[in-house]
Amino acid sequence: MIHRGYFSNMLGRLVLLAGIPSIVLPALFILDEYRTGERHLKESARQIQTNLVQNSKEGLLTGQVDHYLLPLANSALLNPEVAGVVFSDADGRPLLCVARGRDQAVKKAMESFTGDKSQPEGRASLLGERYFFVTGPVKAWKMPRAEQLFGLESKRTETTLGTVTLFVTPEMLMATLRARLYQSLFLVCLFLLLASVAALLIARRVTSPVEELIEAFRQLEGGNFTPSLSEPREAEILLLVHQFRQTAMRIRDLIKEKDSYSAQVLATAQELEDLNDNLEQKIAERTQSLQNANEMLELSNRKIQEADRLKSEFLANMSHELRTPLNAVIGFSELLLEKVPGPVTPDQEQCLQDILNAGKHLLALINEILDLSKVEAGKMPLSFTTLGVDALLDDMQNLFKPLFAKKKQQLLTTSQDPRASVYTDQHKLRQILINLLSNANKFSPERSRIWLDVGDRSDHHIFRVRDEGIGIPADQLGTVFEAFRQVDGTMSRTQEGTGLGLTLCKKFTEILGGVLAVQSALDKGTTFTLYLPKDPSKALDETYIEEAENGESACS
Amino acid sequence: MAKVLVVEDNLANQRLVRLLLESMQHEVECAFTGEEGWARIQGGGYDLVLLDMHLPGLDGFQLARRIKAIHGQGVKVYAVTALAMEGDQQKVMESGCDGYFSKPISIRDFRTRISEILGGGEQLTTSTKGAGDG
Repeated sequence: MIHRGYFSNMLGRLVLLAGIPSIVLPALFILDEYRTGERHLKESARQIQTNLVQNSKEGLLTGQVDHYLLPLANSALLNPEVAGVVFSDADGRPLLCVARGRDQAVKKAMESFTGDKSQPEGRASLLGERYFFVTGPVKAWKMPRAEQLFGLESKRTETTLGTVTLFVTPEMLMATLRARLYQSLFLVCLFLLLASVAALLIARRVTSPVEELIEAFRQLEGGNFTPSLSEPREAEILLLVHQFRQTAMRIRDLIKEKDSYSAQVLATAQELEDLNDNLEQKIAERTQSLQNANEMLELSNRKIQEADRLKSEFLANMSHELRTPLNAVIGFSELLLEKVPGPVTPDQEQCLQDILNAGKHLLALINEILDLSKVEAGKMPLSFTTLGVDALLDDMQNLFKPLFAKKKQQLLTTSQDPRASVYTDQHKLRQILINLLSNANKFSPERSRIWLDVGDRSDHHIFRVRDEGIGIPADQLGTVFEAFRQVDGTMSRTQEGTGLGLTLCKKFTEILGGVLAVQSALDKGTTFTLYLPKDPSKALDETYIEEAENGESACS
Repeated sequence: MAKVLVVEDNLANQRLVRLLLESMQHEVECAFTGEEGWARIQGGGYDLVLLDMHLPGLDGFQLARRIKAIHGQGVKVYAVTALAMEGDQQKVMESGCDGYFSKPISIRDFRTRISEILGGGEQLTTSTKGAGDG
C-alpha cells in the first residue's frame, strides 16, 4: 500500500535521524572517557613508578632483590592496572621482573624490553598486547660515609643504581570502556527499537484511520454515506473523520435534494407532457369544433349566398313580371293617346293620361327598388369620370326647362368656379340632382324660384338645391330620407313621388363618399345640400361637414 | 313595308306590338312560343323578328341563336324584353340579337327605331354585322 509505504519511509527516516545522534553521542563520550582514563592511567603509572623509584634504592643498593624489591613489586601489582614491574641494575641487566599472570613469555618480553631511553614513558607492544610503560633511573649520592656523616655535600657524586620500568595495561580501562560501549550500543538499539515500535504504533494510529477513511471514501463513491469508521484517538484524524461524516451527510443531503429536484423535474416534465397531450387533444378538439363551426359557417354562408341569389332572382323576376304588364299598360295608353286606333274624347284622354302616369310611376318605383336593392347589396356599379360643372348646370337647365316652365318657375344656377370639374360617377350625381330638382319643382308653388348653386371647397364640392316651397316640418326632417316617407299623408296624394327618391339620393350620395343634408323652414322653403369629396376614396362624414360649415359661416 | 314576326307569349303585348307595327304599315305575324316562331321562320320571308326572351319551351335566346345560325344577316332579330337586370343586355346581345327594346316600350321611341331598322335596311345591315357575328 502506497500510504503505508509512505509512512514507513517517513518513520524510517525519523528513526535514522534519531539513531545517528544516539550512536554518535555515546561514541564521543566513550572516546572522551578513554582519553581521560588513559591520562589517569598514565598519571597513576607515573606515581607508582616514582614510588617504586624512591623505595627501590635500598634494594638496588643492597642487591637484596627478594627482600626489598619483590615486596615492592608485589605491592605495585596490587594496582590492577599494573601489568608488570622490571627492576634493572645500573648496567641495564634485569634484576627482577614481576608480571601479572604466569605467562613467562610476557615476563621475558618485559625483561628484554629496553625501549627508548630518551623516552621516559610511551607505548609498548609486547606479544601483541598494548602496554603503557614508565621507566626511570634510580639515582643515589655516592660518597664516603664520613662525608655523609659530616655533610660534606660538595663532594658527593650522583650515581645510577638502576632503572625501574613499570608496565601498566589499559586492559582494565578498555574493558570498562568496552562494557560502556556495549551498554551504550545496547541502549541505542533498545531506543531505536522502542522508537521504531513507537513510530510504527503511532503510524498505525495515523495510517489505519487514514486507510479507513480511504476505504470510506471508496464506499462513499459507491453510494454508502455511512461507512463504519472507528473513532480514532488522534485529534486531527478525529476531526478529519468528523469532517468526513459531515461531508458525507452533506453529500447525501445534496444528492437527496438533487434526487428530489430530479423527481420534481421529472414530475414537471411528465406534467408538461400530460399538459401537452392534453393541449394537443384540446387543440384537436378545438380544431374539430372550429372545423365544425367553419363548416356551419360555410353552410350558412352558402345559405346566405343562396338567399342572396334567391333575392336577386326574385328581384329580377319581379322586375320582369311587373314590366311585362306595364308594357301593355303604358304602351296602350300611349297608343290610345296618340289616337292610333281612333279618336278619344277629352275625358277619355284624361283617363288615359292618368293610366299612363300611374304606369310610369309604377315603372319608376320598380326601377328605384332595383337600384336600392343593388346599392344595399353593394352591387351598384360605379364609373368615375371627370365632369365639368358648367356642362352639368347647362344640362340641368335644359332638362328641367320644360318642367319648370309648366309652373312658371325659375331655375337659377350658379357656380363658384365655372371651370371647376367634378370627379365622380356622373350618372349617380345627375340622378341625385334630378331627384332634388324634381322635388323642388313638385313642392314649390308656381312662379317661385329654385336655386342650384355649386360651391368649391378645399377637399369637397357642394351642390345646393334651394326652393321657396312648402318646407318640411322640423319633427319630420329626420325621417325625410327614409323609404316611403312623404311629408304629410295628404300631400302624397296630391304630389307625385315614389317615396323612394330621397332614400335613393341618400344611398347614392353615400356610395359616392358624400354627405346629403337637409335644412327646411315650413312654408319658407327647403335646402338640400350635397357634399361630394374631391377624392372619392376619402369619404366625408357628417361631423366633418358640420364643422366645415360652421367654420364657413363663422368666417363669413 | 316589311314582314315582321312577333314572338311573344303575352297576348296584350303581342297585340300592342302588332298594332304599332300595323299602324306603320308593316305586315305582322305572331307566335306565342319559341317552337311556333321557329316553325314560322322556316317558312321564311321575314325582314325582322321581334323576340320576347322569356318564352315557354324554346326561349328567346335559343331561338335567336338558331335563327342567326341558319339565316345569318338575312333576318334581323331584335329582343323586346322586360329583362332589366345587370348583364341582361349583354346576354341578349351574345345570343345573336341585333339589338333590343326594353319593356315597357315607349311607343315614340319604338316607332323611331323600327323605322331606322326597317327603313334604312341597307345601312343597318352593315352596321349590325358585327353584332350578328358575335
